[in-house]
Amino acid sequence: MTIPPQVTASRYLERPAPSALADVVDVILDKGLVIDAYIRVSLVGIELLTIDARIVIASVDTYMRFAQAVNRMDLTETEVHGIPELMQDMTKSGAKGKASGAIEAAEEKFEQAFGRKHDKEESEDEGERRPGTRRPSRRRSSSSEEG
Amino acid sequence: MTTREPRTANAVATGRYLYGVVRADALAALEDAELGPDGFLLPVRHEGLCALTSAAPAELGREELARHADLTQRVFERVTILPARFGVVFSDADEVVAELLRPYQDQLTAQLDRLDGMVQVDVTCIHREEQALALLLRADRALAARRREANRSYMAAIRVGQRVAMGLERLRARDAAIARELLRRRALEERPSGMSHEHMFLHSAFLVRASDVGAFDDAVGELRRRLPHALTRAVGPRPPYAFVELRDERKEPTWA
Repeated sequence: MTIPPQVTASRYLERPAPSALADVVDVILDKGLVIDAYIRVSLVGIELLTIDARIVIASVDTYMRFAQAVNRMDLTETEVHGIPELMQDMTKSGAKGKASGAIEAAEEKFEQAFGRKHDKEESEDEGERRPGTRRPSRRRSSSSEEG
Repeated sequence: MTTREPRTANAVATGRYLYGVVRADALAALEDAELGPDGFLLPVRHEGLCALTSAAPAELGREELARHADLTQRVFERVTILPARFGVVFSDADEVVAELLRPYQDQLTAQLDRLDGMVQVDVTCIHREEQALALLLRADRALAARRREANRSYMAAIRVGQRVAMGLERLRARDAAIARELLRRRALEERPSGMSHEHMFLHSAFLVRASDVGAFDDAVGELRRRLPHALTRAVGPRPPYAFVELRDERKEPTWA
């Protein structure tokens, strides 16, 4: 059986490039015909090829980064697009469960540091600033003035 | 190397490195495949099967990884191959027969039949952060309205960020479903891998009939149009690495 590789002109598929090692590692390092007793490979040096892999676990730092990212964004288009499934019951999604531990820990830490309950998001006044309540763990944007 | 046991060191020095298994009668079709210098490829035959091997290199590093990928790709473009995982080395040709071709003969033959005319296409989809966030803000008015709260306090910022994280998670789930719905129509099987990027929502090998590669290509194009806020990469056709499986024949339960 022969598979002519170019029988159809692919418009979207990239031809495999054996020299693109990051791609190759993904495919042949842990898949393919194998009898476990006969694997002899030493992985020294190979893991360096996967430097583009970036996994970020949900954490307070991630939330801070996202908050700053949406804060910075220029919304030129404000109409609501038709993706209602993204809006349904946002506060009860699975992410909330995973996140709540980190949030509670952060709140506790915050309260310990400042000796009082943090401001509730439902009860804030737009213009008010309270010294000591802003404590971003990793600030990327220098601008803090509200528009 | 000093920590290796003598048998292993010997295997690396004089052993056979395995690239894959083909049908013995397919060898003739590989004559012009440029699979290395004369004498590089050392076929090991057993009945209707043939293991494609070479002398085991002393080291297995990047160069060997690229050679493995290149050689299996060239073979795959001519005949059906069960590609080996990188790094399989036998002590000698006899061991290739005794440990692979003979005990697994039925399984190898069945897999060659199953994978005749099949190709693998690997697809990864990753949200472009800025565009995904913009989509999220347009979809979630409350979030758009509250995003400036991040300036007010540490906890307010975390709440906004948490809502963004939840929204992105929903967007990943939605877009993964769209991608699967489009791609599975043109594929026979899918083997998902773990996500290796925080915005990745699809990382799968698809088994596609060679005759359907054009249709799969169209489906990838449609996916890119449907999800312009994602980076979609599809690489293939390549050998069906993710779809080769051997059950261990040597571990029969002794109590049976």
